[in-house]
Amino acid sequence: MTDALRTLELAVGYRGRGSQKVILEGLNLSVKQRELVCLLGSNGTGKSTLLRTLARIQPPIAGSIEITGVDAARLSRSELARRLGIVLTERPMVGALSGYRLVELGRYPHLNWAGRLSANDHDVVKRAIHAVGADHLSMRDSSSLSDGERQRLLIARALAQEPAVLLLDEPTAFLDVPSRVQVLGLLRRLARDENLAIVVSTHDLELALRMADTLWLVLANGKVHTGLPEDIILDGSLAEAFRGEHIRFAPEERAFRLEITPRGRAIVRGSGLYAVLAAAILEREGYEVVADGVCDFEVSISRDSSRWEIAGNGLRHTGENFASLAESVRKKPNGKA
Amino acid sequence: MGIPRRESVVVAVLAVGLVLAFLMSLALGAVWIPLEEVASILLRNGLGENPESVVIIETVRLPRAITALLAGAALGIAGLQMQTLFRNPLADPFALGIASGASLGVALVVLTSGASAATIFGANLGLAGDALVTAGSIVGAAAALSVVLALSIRVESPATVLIMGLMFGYAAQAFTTVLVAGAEPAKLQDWVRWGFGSFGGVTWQQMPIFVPLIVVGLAVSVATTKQLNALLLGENYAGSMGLNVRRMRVVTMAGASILGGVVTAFCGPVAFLGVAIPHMCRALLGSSDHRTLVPATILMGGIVSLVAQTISSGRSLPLNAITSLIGAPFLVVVLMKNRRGVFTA
Repeated sequence: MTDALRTLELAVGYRGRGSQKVILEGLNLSVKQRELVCLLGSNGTGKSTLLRTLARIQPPIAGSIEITGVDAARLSRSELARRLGIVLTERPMVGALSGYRLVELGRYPHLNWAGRLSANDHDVVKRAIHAVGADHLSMRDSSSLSDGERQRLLIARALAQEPAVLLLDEPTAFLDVPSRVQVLGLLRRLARDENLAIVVSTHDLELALRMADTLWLVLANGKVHTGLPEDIILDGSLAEAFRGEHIRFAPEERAFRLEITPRGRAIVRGSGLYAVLAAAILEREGYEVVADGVCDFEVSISRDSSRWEIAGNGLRHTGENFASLAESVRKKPNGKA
Repeated sequence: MGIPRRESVVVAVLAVGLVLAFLMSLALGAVWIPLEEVASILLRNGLGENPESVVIIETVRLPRAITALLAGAALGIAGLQMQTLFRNPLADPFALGIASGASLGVALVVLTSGASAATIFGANLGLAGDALVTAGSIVGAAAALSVVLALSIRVESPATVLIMGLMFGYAAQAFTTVLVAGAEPAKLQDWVRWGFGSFGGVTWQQMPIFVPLIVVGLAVSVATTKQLNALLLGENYAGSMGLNVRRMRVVTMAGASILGGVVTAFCGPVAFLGVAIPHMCRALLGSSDHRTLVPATILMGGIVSLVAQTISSGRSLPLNAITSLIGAPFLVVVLMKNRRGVFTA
């Protein structure tokens, strides 16, 4: 099967008068239909430049891009628009335009000069709105929508182009947490249900690790490392790409953690949610939580409540809730009274 | 889902309103000519019309009404095109310095002494008086347009084009000011009168130039409603949907500038209509969709300028005073009542 999107020795960057600045090069990337790719990288590493180049908003410095097996440079503007849809970081406000009309704009490359929508065009628009779960937004004025709602409609607008490839530049920026999860979940579903190849750049690392089929990780050396999220965690490149002072990627948690010198070691006895949360409190207070071995104190948590007991250095404290546990750990460094 | 009912109704009502405004502008004036008589003169059925009325209508009021109708439509459409292209609710047909260029052209003709280059140029073409003023205005507007178009092709951001147009306008105004400062009082009076604006100056002889230019300009907007809609989301989205953004920019700027420039040349710098008419129509339609916004703007532009023209000639007041004094409060009321209907950039 041909890839929906493929790059051949692609180099992206900016061309000035007589000079050029290459940002990423030697890119041989590919996306299949039904595949969700998350593009990750620190700020300023060239994620947007790559997406803009893939969308032909700016020309490549070298190499080529194939969309559904055809060289993108040979496609006319509307041929390209029928194969590739984009959602940009800019979220334009348009007053006095209903959600439906906003999505309707996506039919542009399929319409004749008169711009009249056929019954089929309207069906596509309705399906696109339904696919993003925005039926209730079609009659709303698009300027009265929340960021998350507007993002849904902009995605529906791109779907209305009936593309094979969908590119999204940080669609979750400025959204609240539930909307972020919803948008990435939506993209994952769209890739499967609508047979789309989707590339989405995001700063939501943890969400990307959970949702993506493939990661494209932009490295500091101008290369892009690709792979299954779990493989990328294992080979250490994720930790490498996001290395910063006092933070560390914790593979087992698939998340970043603050790197601090522990105040001491503690063991949490117990199991279930209460024990997990108690361990989180200890870590926040600067203790390394270990499974067994030498430690400064042990915290026992009951199975079905936040009742706790600290034992260490011959001392015993008990309490009924997490607030008192946190206070107790904070007050008594190294468990000493 | 076709065109919503509200929008169809608004366009139909505006169409009826335009016919009424046109007839009223023929009937009203220094002498009242009854509507039946107006109709019979227009239809040339020769049934007992007052010969005086025939002269008034045929030589004064009819060309004036046609001019007002087309000029209003032209300014409204040019304003709409600029607002959509630059995604800026304050943009008007003259945002790119077209009116300033036209003013400079006119100032050269009106204010400088008889031996000026413009006058000689005009005399060679057999132009004199008002026709020379018109020619000066067209040349000035065309010069401004070509400078701004040439620059705009090299510039990425629409906002930069807008700023360059503004700067060009200021530069042209500065030259005009210099000319005004050195002008004789008698010539200044002509200059000031030109600045009042008037729909009464276009003669039947000039119609074959005025009408086709305006009609072509309006046709450009009608033929590009689909492209204008694509631009609602900005140039990047429009480009991603298959629009040739650079070409559309040039076509739209040229179209809007020809409309604005021609109106300025024949009617003087008519204020207010260009920025206000599109806002009125968006608010009335409750929609920014150009498929209804373009026809509504043409009709509304015609209505408002016909009404302004009728009031101005009835009271012998400068046209520009009427358009702004009556139009501005009206627009404020419309916008206040319809907060959602405003174009948000």
